[in-house]
Amino acid sequence: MNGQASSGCNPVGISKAARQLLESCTVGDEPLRRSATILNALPVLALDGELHSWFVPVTVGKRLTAFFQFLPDSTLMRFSSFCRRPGEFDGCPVASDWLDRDRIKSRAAEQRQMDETTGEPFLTYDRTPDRLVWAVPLTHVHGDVRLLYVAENTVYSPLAGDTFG
Amino acid sequence: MPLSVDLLQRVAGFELNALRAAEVLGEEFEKIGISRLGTPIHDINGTILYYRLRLSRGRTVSGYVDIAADEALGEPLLATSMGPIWDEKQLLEEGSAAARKGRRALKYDNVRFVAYSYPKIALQFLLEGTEVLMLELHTWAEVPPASSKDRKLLEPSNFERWSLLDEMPAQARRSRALSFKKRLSLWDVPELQRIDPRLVMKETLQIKDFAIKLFDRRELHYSVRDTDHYPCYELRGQQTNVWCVGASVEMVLNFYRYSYDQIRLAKELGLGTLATPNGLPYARVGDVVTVMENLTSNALDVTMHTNPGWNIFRNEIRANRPLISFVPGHSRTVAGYTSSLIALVNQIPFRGLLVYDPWPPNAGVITRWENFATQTYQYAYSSVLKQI
Repeated sequence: MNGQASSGCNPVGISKAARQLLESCTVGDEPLRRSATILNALPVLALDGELHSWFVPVTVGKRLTAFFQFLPDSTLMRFSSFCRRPGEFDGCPVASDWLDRDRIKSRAAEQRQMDETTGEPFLTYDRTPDRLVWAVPLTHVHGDVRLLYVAENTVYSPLAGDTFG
Repeated sequence: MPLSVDLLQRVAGFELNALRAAEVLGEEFEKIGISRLGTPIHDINGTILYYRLRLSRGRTVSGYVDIAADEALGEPLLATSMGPIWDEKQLLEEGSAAARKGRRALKYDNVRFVAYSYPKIALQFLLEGTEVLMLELHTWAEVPPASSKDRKLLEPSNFERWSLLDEMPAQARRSRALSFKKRLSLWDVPELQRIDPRLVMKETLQIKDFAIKLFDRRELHYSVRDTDHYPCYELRGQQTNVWCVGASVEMVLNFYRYSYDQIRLAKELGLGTLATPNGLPYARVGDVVTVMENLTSNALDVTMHTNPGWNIFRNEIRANRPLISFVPGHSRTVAGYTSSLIALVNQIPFRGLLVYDPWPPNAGVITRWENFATQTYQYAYSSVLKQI
């Protein structure tokens, strides 16, 4: 493994680089390699809208089993797996909880207040890129916008204050 | 210039033995033999790109290894896999049957394996040297003819045939050829001339005056003995969106056989309750030391390291001790490391941590590997067992 994946710096190139890393046995294990589907790279945006990194989901059936995170210059930040043991896919999150924008939107809508409308979710992070979340903008009738973060079943408002959490 | 079959087998043996010695390849590769006969895999332009050689244990075929025949691939060892059985004869029979299905008039006098979109493989059916059909391996879907190259080089579309050798920029090809030769020269030394590498064994390359190690890598074991089992560490997802510190402390204490749940740890760390949780304020990072020592009756001597460097993580893991790692706004634990000792062509040496990350809540992920160059490490907590 090296720090730099050989790919173009675009979603197609990023996904291709992820595929090569998995196929070349650089990351992952044999059960994952046999069954995995590598999906299109999704942009991870900073709150100012700038591209921070790329998230490349790896699924087996309906489960999100693992993911890659690359910097925009295609440097691999990490390969992370939800599997506790090789081949144990059943305990992994349901892929649509992380990848289906409508589902994420409706999850956020459960905490929507009156006079608020739900905007389009975007993938971002809560303080550190390790903490990937979907941010869902809620716009009040008066024009104020607040965000809700959605991480699978967990929905919360961005935290104020300097804490490790 | 293409490599001879004997040399290919020998190079494959050295490459696999080196990876086995570095424990990049696991026990499943121990005492695996490398077949002398390999299947040539051609580029679309007809050049032999690489050979696929069968791996077997005794008479049982166990997997395969791909060894480059063309220098443009940059490294002799392309891939190896344990599990999938490569049966050239059976594949040719299946492919021929698929070719005849619905194509009764099809005539061909030669069939060869081609990397139609490297590393994807197809069977190419030829009549007097001209292709009459190409079928993708296993799916037996017909690979369409070459499309117009109205695209960037090396960026083919899905299911498009393309030539790796023809599309590779000349400069990259030269650079890869140099790397290839350099790698071959590694195995062409007097110390190895009497070695028979056709059987993969951990000890094969343990020869006086010859040393090769590809990685420095270690994960937590049951003890500091290399032969002890691993993984010996478990992931805990954080139970709320602000309890990463609690989950991290739980993981490390569990390693030392202390069972405290996150609710109790949150109470000790001042992280609130499940109903009204809060994070650990930056000003209270020292609490982790106090709480872990208290909860273990000072059996653990915990130290906080500010801005920890690579050596802190590496040395602790070598001593078989997990660490808690604080990055901005978040806490995780570290259970292993890897560091490339040989920089491959066009690659920078990689250093990575095995991170047990409690995020996302109630799940967590195991990151193997986190690129050490892309993360900001604020604090680390190491713990030494003082007394039992």
